[in-house]
Amino acid sequence: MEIKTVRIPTGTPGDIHAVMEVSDGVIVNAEVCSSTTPLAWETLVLEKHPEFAIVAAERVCAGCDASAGLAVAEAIENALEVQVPDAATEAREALNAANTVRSHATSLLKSDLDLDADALYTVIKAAKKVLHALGRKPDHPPAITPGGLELETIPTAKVENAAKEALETAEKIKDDTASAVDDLKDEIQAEMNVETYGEPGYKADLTPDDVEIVPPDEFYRMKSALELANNHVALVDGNPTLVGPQARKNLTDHPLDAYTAKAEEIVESLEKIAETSENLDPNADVKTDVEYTSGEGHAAVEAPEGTLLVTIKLRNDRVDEALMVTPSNVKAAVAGRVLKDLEEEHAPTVIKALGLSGRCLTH
Amino acid sequence: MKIAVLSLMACGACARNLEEACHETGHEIVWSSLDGDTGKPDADVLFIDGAVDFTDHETLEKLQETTSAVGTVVSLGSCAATGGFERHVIGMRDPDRYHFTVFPAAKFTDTDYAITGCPPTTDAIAAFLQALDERDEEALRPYKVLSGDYHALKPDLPAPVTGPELPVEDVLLTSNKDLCLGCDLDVIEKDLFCVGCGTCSTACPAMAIVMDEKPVIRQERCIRCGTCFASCPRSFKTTRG
Ligand code: SF4
Ligand code: SF4
Repeated sequence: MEIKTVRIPTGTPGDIHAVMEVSDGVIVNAEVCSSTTPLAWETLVLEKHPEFAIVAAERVCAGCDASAGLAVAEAIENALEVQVPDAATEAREALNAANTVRSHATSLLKSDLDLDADALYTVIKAAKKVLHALGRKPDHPPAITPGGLELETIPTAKVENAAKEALETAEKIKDDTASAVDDLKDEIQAEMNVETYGEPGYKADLTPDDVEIVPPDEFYRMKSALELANNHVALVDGNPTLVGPQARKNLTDHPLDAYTAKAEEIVESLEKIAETSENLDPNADVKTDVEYTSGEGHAAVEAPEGTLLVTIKLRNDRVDEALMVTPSNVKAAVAGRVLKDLEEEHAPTVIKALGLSGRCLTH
Repeated sequence: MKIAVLSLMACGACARNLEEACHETGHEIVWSSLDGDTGKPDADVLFIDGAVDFTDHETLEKLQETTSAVGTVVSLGSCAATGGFERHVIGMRDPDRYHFTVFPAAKFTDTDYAITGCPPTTDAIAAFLQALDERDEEALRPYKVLSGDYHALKPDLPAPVTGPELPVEDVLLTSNKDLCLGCDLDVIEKDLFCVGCGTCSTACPAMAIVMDEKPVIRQERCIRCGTCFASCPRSFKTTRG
């Protein structure tokens, strides 16, 4: 038996390490953690204006940026009991879907699958057009604000065209991904016996009561993991749980099905964007005035990489307490189990497929 | 050109836009820490993405090793160039509470150019790549000026401010970079250079500037990225006009 610590390049910001007990080339026990310097979103937003909490959340990790901003905005609205106009909720759903398209296509580009980069950049461009149109910038969309979206009108035609134009390419990516995943599955024998959480859609019903946040010194058992870990992990209903595209699509036979699920979600998200924009009135009201009082609220959204939960306590126009549980916090608890019984050499490919980001994990 | 990417404390959006710009312009990324590359890159240009914790010796060593191997070093995005959003980091979170000394990567290593933005757009990066590839010195000048170590600059003016033909270096010297690059707007306005064109407001990635004839910064949204200053046509009025 040998204990090995391997830095796993995931293509995402921050560091991810797998600490593995290996016997005859097979992993018998593993823990996955991050040594990334914590951004500490929860402390850097204290005493700041609630709007800053949104702007800051979008800069935790580029993968789920818009979704993180939306979760914080909705937690603020729930704390203040603000009712957002229906059109804003619809437009936000399309924004979240565009974030999913870009994030998944980027993840497929970084994967160990041999896919058509031109096709993936075509859908990334379409997603960026939607993010730009509804969020006012292609990255970290700043239009997301408490009360709705900071938009004069909703550029529905631009959004609809961008989504529809990319659909055919997205279908091709879906087919290519399915066959590339099948080929790679022949090489990598793996099983996943894990609990899952998540449904297709935008908002999730996860509440702070469902989640237990475990500090690293209570979760990790292996010495190297304990020394390296700068991250907390989160259990759902007391269990290590898989969130994200595989959980939402119920495709959990093999870890590489994460890519199959992502390719399917790209198509579905583009369809959702097109359908939403078709039904939206460009002149509909998308912003309610917000009066900052005191209160506490939470919100959860299905971000590209999984369910993202935010709770926030406000004291007038200042943040008094804040908490964020990211998809990587939840997935880190289950990642070690996914590695179990796998041949050691396949650990990097499988961890990359799980979609962990060191930055998301330490946020 | 052969491109290398070193990603430090960053959200990853700058590197993602660089990858897209390289795909579009045909430049090849031959080395990337995001993809697990280590050691000395064999590349023409190194882009550094992100800030650094002053106490993170391992990262500082990595920074020295990679920058020493490549001829041209570029700070990519505001976190690397000025500290940007990462300068808000105050640490104070378990289990590693003592990491609040975050500075831009450019503070610890010599850089040749800087592209500010949070993040710089794919088009902005592509424009820089073109200028660099063509060695277009005039087009590269703003990127060169922005690559200075802001935090070492003093607010003392070398000469009285006299008019809009002020060289860009002098404008940079008029503000206190220790505090906030974004606050340069106050200086521009105070010195009556601002013509109220609204370029800064359009460029701001956080929608933190509203125009009331002159720009007014909504500090509650400002991430100190400096994009406003870098985009202002008056702050970049060069001596050549
Ligand atoms: S006002 Fe906007 S562009 Fe200027 S530093 Fe602040 S966030 Fe950046
Ligand atoms: S870009 Fe410069 S000149 Fe134009 S409004 Fe802003 S500060 Fe004034």
